[in-house]
Amino acid sequence: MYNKKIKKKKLIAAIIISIIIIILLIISIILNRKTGFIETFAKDIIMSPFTSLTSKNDFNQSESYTIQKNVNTSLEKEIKELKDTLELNKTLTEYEPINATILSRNKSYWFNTITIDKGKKSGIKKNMAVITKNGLIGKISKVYTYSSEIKLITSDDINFKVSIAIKTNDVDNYAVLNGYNKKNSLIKASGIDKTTTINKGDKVLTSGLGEMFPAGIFIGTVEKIKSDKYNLSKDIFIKTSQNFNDIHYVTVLKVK
Amino acid sequence: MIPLIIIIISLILDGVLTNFLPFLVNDLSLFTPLLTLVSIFIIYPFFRKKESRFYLILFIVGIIYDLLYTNLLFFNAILFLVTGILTKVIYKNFEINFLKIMIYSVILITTYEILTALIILIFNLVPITITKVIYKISHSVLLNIVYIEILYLIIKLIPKKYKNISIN
Repeated sequence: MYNKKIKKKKLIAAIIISIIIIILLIISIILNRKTGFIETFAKDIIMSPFTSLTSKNDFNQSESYTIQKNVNTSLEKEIKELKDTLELNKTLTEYEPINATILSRNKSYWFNTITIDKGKKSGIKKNMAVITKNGLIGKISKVYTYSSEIKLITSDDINFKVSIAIKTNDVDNYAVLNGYNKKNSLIKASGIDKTTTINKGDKVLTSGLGEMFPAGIFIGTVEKIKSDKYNLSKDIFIKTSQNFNDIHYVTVLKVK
Repeated sequence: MIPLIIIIISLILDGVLTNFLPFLVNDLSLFTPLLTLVSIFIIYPFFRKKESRFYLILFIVGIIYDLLYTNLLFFNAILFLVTGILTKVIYKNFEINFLKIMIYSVILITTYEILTALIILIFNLVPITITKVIYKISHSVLLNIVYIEILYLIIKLIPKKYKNISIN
């Protein structure tokens, strides 16, 4: 009798724990969820050493460059990147560019995200487009007070699709970005009518159709064209000059 | 105190190796770190008589890990708890020595990666293939085995008066 009671209690405890685990997993895995107050607060505290470090770093690096111009090659590289970012800012007249530094990459292999040192305080909002001098790299997926998360376009996330326009002889052909080939660093796009003429080297830009990204942001050039496995449409592979494993500075586009 | 130091150092090293060493940043190197995960196995003997504290620490470390490196709140907290349970089972049923720890760390890494892949698969977030999972496991084994062996040796070297544990 006593054993039965203990068994029953254990079973109830196991069921409750399983339910809690499932709920927590659902909360964690919903990638588009809004970040709550507690999460934002905890994230801000945890990231504060890094965010304060990057803000100090920017100042020291520029100073160090002017003083010892040819001493440190890695510093020179960083300054070049910053200069490129400033050049980029001049061309984006319709948007208020918010420059940010990468704090960390997501450790999970399956989610291609990075964290930057700008958040709500700097005016960053969810779904803003993120670019570098080489073109579009992703969108803001989560915003905290002093940091944000960027989902890269190389991400295989089923819920994150980018509508693109392929410029062939001044005609726009529309498609959707659909995955990334890590081996040859090409972004795949699908959904192009098989009768459409697309040439190697055609420019690929954001179409602005999904209203997620502004139209006309450069993504890359067409590198390879293939028929899909049922020969119903074409798949194209886009070469981007951005090395997605080597991003240090980004620009978030805020509509004015 | 010792287990806390071990887990905090592993947590920091995990971030350093993933984000700051250029040769490790590219896609997946053969030295992909999962140091916090394997350090769970090493710290278990310190908590043999107070297991609830062990699980509490794992949960908190998991949340910090999520906040710092993944932005998936509770994801690794739960997986670390599962790893803790698996560690307990291994310690209760099998002998622990320098060579066998290698096998146990492979078991822990494989379980962690398979569980991660299964959760992602169930919630249909990212297309996952068995090849990709095997690729991820194979690239996570090397560095972590070396790390767990170093930790094992360090703990063996610590004088007994500073630790109330027994590792064979």
